[in-house]
Amino acid sequence: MIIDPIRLALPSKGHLYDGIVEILKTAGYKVRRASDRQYEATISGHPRFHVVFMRPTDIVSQVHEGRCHLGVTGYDVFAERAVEVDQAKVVYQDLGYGGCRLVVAVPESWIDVSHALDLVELAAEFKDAGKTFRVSTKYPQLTQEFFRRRGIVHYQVIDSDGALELHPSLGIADIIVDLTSSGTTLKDNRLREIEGGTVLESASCLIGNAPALRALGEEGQGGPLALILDAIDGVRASEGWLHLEVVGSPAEPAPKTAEAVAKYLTEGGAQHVARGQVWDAVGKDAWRVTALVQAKRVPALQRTLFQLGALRVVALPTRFVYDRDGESTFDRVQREIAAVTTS
Amino acid sequence: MSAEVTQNRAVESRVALVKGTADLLPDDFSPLAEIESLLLDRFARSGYAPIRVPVLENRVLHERKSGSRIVANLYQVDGASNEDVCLRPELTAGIVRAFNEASPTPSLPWRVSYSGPVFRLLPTGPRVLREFQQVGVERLDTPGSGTSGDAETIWLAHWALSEAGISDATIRIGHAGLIRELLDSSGLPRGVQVALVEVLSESVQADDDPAVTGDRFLSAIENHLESLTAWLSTGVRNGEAAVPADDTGAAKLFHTLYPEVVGRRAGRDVIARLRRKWELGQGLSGVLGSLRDRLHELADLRGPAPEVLARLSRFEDVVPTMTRELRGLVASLQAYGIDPARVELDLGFGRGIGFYSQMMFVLLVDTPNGSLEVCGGGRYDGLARALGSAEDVGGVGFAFGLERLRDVLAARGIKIPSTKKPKQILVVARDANAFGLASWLRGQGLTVVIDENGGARSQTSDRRFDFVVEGSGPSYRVTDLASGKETTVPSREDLLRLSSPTGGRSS
Repeated sequence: MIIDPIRLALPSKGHLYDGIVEILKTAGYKVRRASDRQYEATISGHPRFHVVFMRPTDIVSQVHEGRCHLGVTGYDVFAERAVEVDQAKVVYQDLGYGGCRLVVAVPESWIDVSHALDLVELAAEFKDAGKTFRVSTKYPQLTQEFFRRRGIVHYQVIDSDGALELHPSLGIADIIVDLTSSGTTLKDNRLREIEGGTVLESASCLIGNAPALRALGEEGQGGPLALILDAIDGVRASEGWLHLEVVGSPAEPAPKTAEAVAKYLTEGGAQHVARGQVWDAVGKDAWRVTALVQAKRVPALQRTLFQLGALRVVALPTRFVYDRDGESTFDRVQREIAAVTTS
Repeated sequence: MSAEVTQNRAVESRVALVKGTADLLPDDFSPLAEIESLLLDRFARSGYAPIRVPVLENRVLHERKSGSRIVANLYQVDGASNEDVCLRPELTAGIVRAFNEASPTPSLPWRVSYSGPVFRLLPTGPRVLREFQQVGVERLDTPGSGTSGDAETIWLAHWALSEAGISDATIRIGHAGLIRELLDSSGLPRGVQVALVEVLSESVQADDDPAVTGDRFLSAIENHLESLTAWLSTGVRNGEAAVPADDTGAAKLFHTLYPEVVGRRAGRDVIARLRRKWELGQGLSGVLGSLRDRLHELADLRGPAPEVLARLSRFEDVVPTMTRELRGLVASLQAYGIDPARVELDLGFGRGIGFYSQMMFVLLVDTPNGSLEVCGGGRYDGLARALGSAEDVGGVGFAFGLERLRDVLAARGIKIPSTKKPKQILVVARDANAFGLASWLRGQGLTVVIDENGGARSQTSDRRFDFVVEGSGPSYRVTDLASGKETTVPSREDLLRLSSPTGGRSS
């Protein structure tokens, strides 16, 4: 069965939207949307893809039910419903943006509560006192799973969509389980995290409908799924890296200097370091070393490189990086889908 | 799912089966019903009377004692008026509740059997059932009445399984007493002990390979003790910083640092608990080390019963009651005719220690797909009290997973022999007289199906039927489907004689 169009669901706005549109654009899949209020879009040069915009929670449902074949959402949103949406499979758990953590936060005046194990005792103490230990969260399933693993059974989940940070001070709940990225909002509301209290590490993720992934996978390495995943793989692998080219003076003893430069770059965390002989404009022997270097490190490297004998250092942006031994997401997804089918 | 359009005719989307449930059509249902009937019959022969309790129960019934794995997978019933109601995940708690509520209170020992569906919201996957059937027994008795109830139930489970065709099952017996005793003497706070028991209980599956079980048990112990060490060290750090020697000073310092205490706990509760934790942290580091060593020793106690009982002597002083009970239990099982070599003791067998109070057991059967658990149970003294009984009532029981047992029997090529059924007759309706004949024959105890298609081949060749009857009366033409022989009988009474279990051919 050929799937056409391939429906890709994206968040309609916010940082989840901005991040994926940027990744897709770099990967050569520019989303063409007439206006922010339009809920459909196309992708330039890839007519089989049809983009629809919806809320992250709806994306999980639509991908599970197969109306959308691929979707971008928060991993937290997917994980909360993972038990029910078993036809939605994670393709990328972390697309590299939208990172946050789901954490247990307690009132900062609870100086006796510093570790997740304290909650075990506290819940038991509340029960002994005839009170119910209350936990406010937007993620009841993940919270219950977290508490279950720690043997905490006696508590009540307050499932709420509002601003949870106020719940302890209003007496609605004793603690909260909520998303945080910097911890500032928690601190501003006199709450703090505890050790061992991270319920989930989350980021923006790509999910796919399992039967659709299987059908699209059957189109092989030249098919639309392989091409888009390979493109995203390349973009993801290139993020934060620059292609460094160091050219050395013909007057220097070329092989020795090139070796010293390569060694220095390798020790500094560079990857894919290669060196070779070149000739300058007038045909004299020279050398060149290329490597992938983290962008933020380049300014700090250049002085030493010149001291070692470099004449010129050029750092070029990378768009796609592939490594023969690197994992292909398309291959992994096909293996996982096949394993589920045969088990 | 949107409606599809086929050949210009709108077709509504198909309403599918709920995930994790299964339809049992007659051919699928029949073997399951045969196994269920055999088990209930053997339970009845041993004095266990069938009862029925509701599928809907209050959530708190299961939260109190069912163990976190079951509680986490409760099927909650949605709806504003039913917020605290769930579909039962097992039957023991419901049966103990029924005992507590019965008036007058049944006399002990109270032996009952049951069969019914249970529901667990498990992650879906191939062959994962969220609704499945349990068939089992519960025996409520006086706590401390010895091991006779334990031996009776283990024997009954083993015998019922033998009657179903599997006589080489391994009986793996564990005991929660040793772990509980070790934890009680450790000095750990009660809440932390409960958490440790839950973690150990959830660390293994009963039908794991024993070596795997042991490894998981030990790694769960290690992980949890590491967490405990981290927890206590954070307590000591905070304590050093914030708890002066006297309570008045501590309260003053606390209120200076936190003028407004947020939440439902008073400042004095926070300080009191901090002090307790600090004191615990001072004295407990050594205790955790020795607890780790003892739990490791415990996990090593597994193997054939005679061998483990011999090695158990070094725990005689620590847990005299438990060692005596285990020796007594193995001896009682031998008296029932169970070879001790079939009994495996595994005192590191962690699953269920959150629910069971003493003995716990599983029956394991070798299949081409490895060893599988078909039955599990144990003693749960204290459950009745946890559910609100004023009396101390003990209890022991087990449950077979019916679908699992069916699969294991099928994997071993065992077929449960069908119980004798009355002969089945297909009456071909060529006119209205057929309906009167069918009603009369049913009244005489026969199973009769009316063929309204006038004897179409598909019905008359159906293997369920013994005879096909045609005619408007008073005489009838009878075809014996096994032999193909046709006879004509002059009256319906003659037809009855031909079709009775002793008449005609034997079924």
